Amino acid sequence: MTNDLLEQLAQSEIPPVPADFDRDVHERVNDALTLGHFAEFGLRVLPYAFVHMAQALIGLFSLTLSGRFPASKSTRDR
Amino acid sequence: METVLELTDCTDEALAAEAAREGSDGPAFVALLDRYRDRVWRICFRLMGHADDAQDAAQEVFVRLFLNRAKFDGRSKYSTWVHGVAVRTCLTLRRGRGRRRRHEATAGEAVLESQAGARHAAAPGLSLDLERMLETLDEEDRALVILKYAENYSYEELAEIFGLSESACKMRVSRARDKIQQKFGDSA
Repeated sequence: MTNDLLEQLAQSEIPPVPADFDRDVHERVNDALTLGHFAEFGLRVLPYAFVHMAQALIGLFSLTLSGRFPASKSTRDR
Repeated sequence: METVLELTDCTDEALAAEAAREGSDGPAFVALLDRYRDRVWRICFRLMGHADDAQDAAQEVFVRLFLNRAKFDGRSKYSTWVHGVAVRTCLTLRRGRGRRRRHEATAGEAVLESQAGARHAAAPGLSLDLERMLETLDEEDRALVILKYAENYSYEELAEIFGLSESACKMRVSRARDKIQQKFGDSA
């Protein structure tokens, strides 16, 4: 009896895919990409830029106080 | 023109690999969208039971397919992977909706009843009894039963989609049937 009832499921109609479906998917993918780019900018690019900026500022203060710029690894090797 | 011809000849797996190399939803991903649009829509409509929810779910499925396009490792068929993503997305959305409904239920039972009535009325072709019976099942069992009976998936396909063994799928479908029989007795 339950089987008969469940087999009715196959007879229920499915409406067609909405006409603007592809456009909506495209917009949502674009939104997701934009969000991803902002997240990457905030979490990776900005911290990287701040670290490099901080190194320059520390160097500037060191130069002002001691007259010597702190040597980085690459300049020390030369 | 040449690219279009090449894409139509490609297997799903080759298109997926090409889509993984694309920076945005380029030709390969659009070709996959074109191939799977109807199947994903069918699954989402069956599982969500309502056109608006199905549209939201189906769009979410393609966004997830896009964002995780590099994670397809080719261990299963691409179609199985897509169906798995579609089912998991629908289950997640339905669970979220269930939580919201329970939250709303504390605010007023009458409001919930009227919303449920409207939802039932909007689901074309599915009898109220049948939908009410399916709603008594656990979300995953409900999805198994719907895909088995409405979409005629084999137990082998269900096992791959749900990450279960074939015998586990058979047992869960059988138990779900028994549960409906027990709860609704003669009317089932």
